[in-house]
Amino acid sequence: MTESLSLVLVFLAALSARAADRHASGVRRGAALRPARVVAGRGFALAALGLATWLWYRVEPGPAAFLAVLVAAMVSASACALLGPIAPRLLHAGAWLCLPLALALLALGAVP
Amino acid sequence: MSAEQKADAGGRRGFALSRHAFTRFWHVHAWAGVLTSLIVYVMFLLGSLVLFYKPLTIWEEPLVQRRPVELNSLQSLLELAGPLPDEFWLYLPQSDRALPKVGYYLPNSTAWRMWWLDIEHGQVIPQRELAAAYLYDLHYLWHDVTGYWLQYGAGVLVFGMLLAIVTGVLIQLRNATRQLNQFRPDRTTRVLFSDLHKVLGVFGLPFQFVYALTGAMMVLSPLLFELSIGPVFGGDSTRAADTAGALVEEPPPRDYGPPRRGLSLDALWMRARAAEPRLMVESVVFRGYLQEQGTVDIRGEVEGQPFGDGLVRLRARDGHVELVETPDNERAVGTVARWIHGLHTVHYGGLQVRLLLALLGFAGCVTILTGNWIWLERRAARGLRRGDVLLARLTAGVGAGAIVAVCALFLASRLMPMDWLPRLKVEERLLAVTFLGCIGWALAEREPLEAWWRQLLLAASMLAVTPLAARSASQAGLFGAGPKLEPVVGVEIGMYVLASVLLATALWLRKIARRRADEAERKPQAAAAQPHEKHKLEVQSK
Repeated sequence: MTESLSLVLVFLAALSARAADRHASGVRRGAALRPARVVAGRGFALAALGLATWLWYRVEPGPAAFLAVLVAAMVSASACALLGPIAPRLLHAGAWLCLPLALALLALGAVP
Repeated sequence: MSAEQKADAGGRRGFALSRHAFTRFWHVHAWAGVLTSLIVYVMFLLGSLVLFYKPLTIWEEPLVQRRPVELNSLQSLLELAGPLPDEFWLYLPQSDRALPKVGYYLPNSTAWRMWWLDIEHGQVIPQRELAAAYLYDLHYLWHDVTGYWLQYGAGVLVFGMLLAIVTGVLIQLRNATRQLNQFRPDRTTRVLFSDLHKVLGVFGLPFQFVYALTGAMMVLSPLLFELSIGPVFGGDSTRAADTAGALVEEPPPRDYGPPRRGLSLDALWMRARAAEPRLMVESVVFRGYLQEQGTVDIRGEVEGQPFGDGLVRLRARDGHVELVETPDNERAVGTVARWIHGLHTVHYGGLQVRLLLALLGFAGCVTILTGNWIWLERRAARGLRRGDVLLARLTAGVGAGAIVAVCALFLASRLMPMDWLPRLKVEERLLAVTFLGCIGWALAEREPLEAWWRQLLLAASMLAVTPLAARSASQAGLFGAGPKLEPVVGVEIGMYVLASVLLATALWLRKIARRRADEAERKPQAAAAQPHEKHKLEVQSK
């Protein structure tokens, strides 16, 4: 369960980084607060990745934690990049599901 | 846009690579990619499947669909196994291997054989199912018939892929951040393939690079070892083997001396555990069995160590500890070997990481295929030559054919009775015949897209039926009447997921093929209608 929570955080990090990139490139509407949104998005992504690594490290110490998070990050980033134009609602649904899923995992004792 | 035009465009934006370098890297990337693509594709595809090697070995053999057998004595396994050669491996029961087994190369050959040791019934049962093992061996192009040369060829080819990866990074470096999230499926086919190739290639870059590099080193290490014995070790193969350590799985043959009975395996195991208490024994390797200088390697995971494989080597005759190698007590070469092996065989993370790595593996396959399709789309503008047509059809034949062959293998393994002696040969030949047949089919099709969707549909159909067919061999699966076993059910669920993806892809490609066929039909009709329209206009103007 800790690993699952870690993977959910990695997916959230990928979504956040993608949103920040879209703000930075001007694809997303709203020029106001764009720099702040970019910084916030990227900052959140880094924090989520760090937290994901820390969680996995609690279960499997050593290089495994970094490798597992890297693998998850590659998959999440690819999925976000490909699903965004094809099935944006699916991506948004995934994003909205992450929070309740994370809370459920926390409630089930995902953090050792 | 040609490579030269792109280089010029990059130069205007202040790009570091010169036009000459950019163009050269572009051509090297294209040619290295297309020359290595189809074989590397097969290696990536099979590699993605053998991430689940252990669950597949449980799914395919009903004998091990039970709780691991408990052993009172390790020596009794050797007595049950009967006469054994000088060198053999003994695999002890684990959570994912319910029965012990013994394996060795047949004398004077590279043919590897294994036997299950049913200690409860006093039986030695030859391994009856090798579907997972075939995929594992073919993943690095190993076969008894072709031997090491094809395996070494695979290693060399993978360096071609590494060259394609490195040059790909160099030519896209200037645009990396802009193109990182650029995926435009609504544009032309060429743009779609190009974006897909770049997105999957960039995000999957660490995976593809690490797996290509570690895989190449694993398959080429026996060759490099042999080549180094003369110049580096002055021909002393024993010293070379001792130095290489775990980098080389099989040390060179040597004379282990006259016959001599050693300590029992139980006594040796106790000494190994005393030398390294953290060792969780999984297998034992005998070299020079029942000979004066014979050794026994007690191998397994070391608790609490990253990529924690450990080894205790003992002299069989008296149990003297010759070597203890664990992650925190090893030479530099042992660390290198452990990291190479641990990274490539995923000695971390568990099922979730393997599932993610399988997705990356399939994404790697798509990266390779889209590379070929980009090549073909670029050349289609100037008119395809015979070589391009052959490449298009081969890409379809190998790309879809490899999937069909694997599905046919799994289905056949469930349809044939487990006790039917010829089943191993039939499976092997079926795999080869199906693969070659699909390539022939694709070569015969005028339109590669037709070959793609028909073969993927065939693969999906076979995969969907396989769990049903599996009932005849085992009751532990989805449709079995007995208690369900997690690995067996997991494999069958995985088959249905893959079958769904294959079916969806086949139907999507069929839709595209129909649309293209309709467009192709309308073009001559439109061209034929034009003179008539022109005549109408002329009559009206008069």
